[in-house]
Amino acid sequence: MKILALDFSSGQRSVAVACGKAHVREVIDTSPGKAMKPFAMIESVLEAANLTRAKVECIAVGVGPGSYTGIRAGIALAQGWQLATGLKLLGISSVEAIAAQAQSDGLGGVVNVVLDAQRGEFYLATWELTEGTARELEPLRIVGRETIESSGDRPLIGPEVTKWFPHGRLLHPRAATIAALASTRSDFIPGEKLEPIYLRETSFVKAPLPRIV
Amino acid sequence: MIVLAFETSCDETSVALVRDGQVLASVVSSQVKMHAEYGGVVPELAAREHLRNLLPVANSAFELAGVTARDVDVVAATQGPGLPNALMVGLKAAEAFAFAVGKPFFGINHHEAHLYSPWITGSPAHAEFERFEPNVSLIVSGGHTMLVDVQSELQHRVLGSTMDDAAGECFDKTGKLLGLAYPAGPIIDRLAEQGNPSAFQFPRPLRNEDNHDFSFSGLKTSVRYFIRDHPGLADDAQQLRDLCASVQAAIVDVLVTKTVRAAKKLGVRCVTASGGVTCNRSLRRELESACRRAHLTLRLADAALCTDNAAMVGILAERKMKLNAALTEVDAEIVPNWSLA
Repeated sequence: MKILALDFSSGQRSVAVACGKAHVREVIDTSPGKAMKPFAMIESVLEAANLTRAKVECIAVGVGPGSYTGIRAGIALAQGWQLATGLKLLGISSVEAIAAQAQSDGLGGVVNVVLDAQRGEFYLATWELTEGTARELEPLRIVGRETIESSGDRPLIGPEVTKWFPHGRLLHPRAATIAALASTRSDFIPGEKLEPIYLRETSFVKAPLPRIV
Repeated sequence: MIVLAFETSCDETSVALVRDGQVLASVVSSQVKMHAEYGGVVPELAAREHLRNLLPVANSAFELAGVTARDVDVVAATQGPGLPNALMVGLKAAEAFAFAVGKPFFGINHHEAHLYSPWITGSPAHAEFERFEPNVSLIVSGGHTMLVDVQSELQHRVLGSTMDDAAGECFDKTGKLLGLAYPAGPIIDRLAEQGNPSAFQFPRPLRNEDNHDFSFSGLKTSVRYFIRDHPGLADDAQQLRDLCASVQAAIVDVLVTKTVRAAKKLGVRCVTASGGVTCNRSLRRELESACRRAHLTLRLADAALCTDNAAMVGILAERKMKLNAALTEVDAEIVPNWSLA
């Protein structure tokens, strides 16, 4: 299956196309700022893979956690494409992509994937990396800094992790990894079910009950 | 030519299909009930809802229109102004549709689309551009109040706009002070129908100024002081109706006076009005009456086209295509503060 993968959840935005595991092309945009050109990236990666738009059979999107703006841009893009052609969609956790990336980079043992959750908190997931596999030990949750600091010598990995933990290792979720993960999956979902990982409960203040409706 | 249009600038998810000036389908999913709990639109929740609603709304539109994605010739979406994350959902989905099947794309200014919504009429709704004439257009909603000189199709210049609060904002904030549910505009409209608009006097800001600008924040403050100085007045059902009618009369008076005066000054023979506040019955009546007296033709947007909708976006995009207007590149970004030229 020809898979187009998108990850706009971090400051390093990437697009990849995979035609089977062996043939992956990727474009990475590390330019600062929020502006991005996803379609130029897609055009470029399709050209590199010698594929036309019509040949894309599935879009896999990194659903975070991370920048809601970037993640939603990727999901909306996938939805619009599905509306046009009916292709299949997959949502892949950006944390899973980071763990898989670490594993393929040769990192082993138990690692903590750490991402900024704002408000002085962090998204944390614990993964075990062995030769050939990356397995989730503890699912994604929101924790305070002290929880991460008390995790001992366990390696910390993530897209901005060194900002808070200098000994951490910078690893961004990459579209190429998402494409590789997607090639093993078949749990396709309708576009309207695709959404960012919303781990934190919303806390918007409700208005007093009106006197007259 | 079939145009697929998306509108997600605020709290309505809308998708429309337009063919040769006719609205084949215009589906709107409103989030107003959800935001009412918070007393106003919560941008983060709006963006979440757009993402959930966009495809079901689009699929309904295709089903109603009796066409398929393969039939689409042109794609359009509101590019601005609006809430950033809300705009982005519709814009990126529309761009992706256009990109995936290689169709032309238009990013549309929401206000420019409003300028042409009064020309969409009938059942089934269709655009009457053959009857177009130069006009002064009043766009009045919860976020904007402006007068525009529409010289010819796609040619316009803004005459003036609000310097602070929009008229719809004044309705909503008055409603909040009175303990009315959000959005308060329709409730004030309903209560005012049985009230005396002369019962209380409120200022008519900038009504007699020789410009085309508006200002409603002073009126809102005046209402606040009035309520403070008359405790318990709003607890009396009839006095509440009178108060709503009086505040509404002040807002409507300013809007109508300035709109008609602008039309006379410019020498145009037509006035149009659109935007959510144009649903207000008193505004519609007073505009009709004032335009009749001034021998001006009045075109009011149909109620369904006053609030945010993709039909007007599609109609404008189709017109742009026919008049060879410049296309928008598919990687265009949202323009949340896009001012009408």
